[in-house]
Amino acid sequence: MDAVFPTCDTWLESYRERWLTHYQDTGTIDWTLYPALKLNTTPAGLAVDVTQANVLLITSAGGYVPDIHEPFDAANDLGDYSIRLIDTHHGPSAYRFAHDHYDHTAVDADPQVLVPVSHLLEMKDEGVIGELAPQVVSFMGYQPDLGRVVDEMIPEIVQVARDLRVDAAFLVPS
Amino acid sequence: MTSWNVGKTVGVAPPRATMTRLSRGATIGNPGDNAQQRRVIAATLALLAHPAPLALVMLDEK
Repeated sequence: MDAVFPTCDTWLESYRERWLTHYQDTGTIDWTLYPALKLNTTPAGLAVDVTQANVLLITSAGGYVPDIHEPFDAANDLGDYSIRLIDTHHGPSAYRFAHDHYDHTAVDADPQVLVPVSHLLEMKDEGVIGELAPQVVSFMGYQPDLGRVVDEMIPEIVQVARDLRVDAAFLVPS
Repeated sequence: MTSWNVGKTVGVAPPRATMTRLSRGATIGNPGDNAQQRRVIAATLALLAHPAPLALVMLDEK
């Protein structure tokens, strides 16, 4: 974890002692107690020829497909750290969004504003990108415990990326 | 990645990112504006042509 988040222990101590303790004591959230995050290291990477690349779409909008996936636990004040893998043959209109921390007006009108899967498939057909990985990684980006993000969610996404042999990831936060 | 939130994006130090003035909940573009959405995606993916890390790239999209 240190390589990804070198100040994690300090951050977690502050998170637990201040924000989490206040929540557990009062049942209310006080964002003034939430420790700021500033990573000191930016990951390095080689250039990628996107016209030959297998690109993985990752969205934090809380997207899922009803009847296939359980919705995210959007109402949980402590967050939801699970992911959904959504086959790219499901078009944007198949998605629903379980995430209580942004206005859904735009995504309800046009899901591609947060899950641009049809655009990316068109770009593959046009040769702009080499491939679109056959599954979208979806999570619900309200996740106050960054320790759980680093220890639980990110390794799961990295494993998906390895399994799908992707060359690049395109993250769309909400 | 692409984002409308400069502060949070700086905090997580992504290897490559574009920034816009779009709204929260409409990261890729305005609803129904396929041309804008494609511009944002293309500009972001174009960053892959360069070794990371890159400085944040501002897009004139709102």
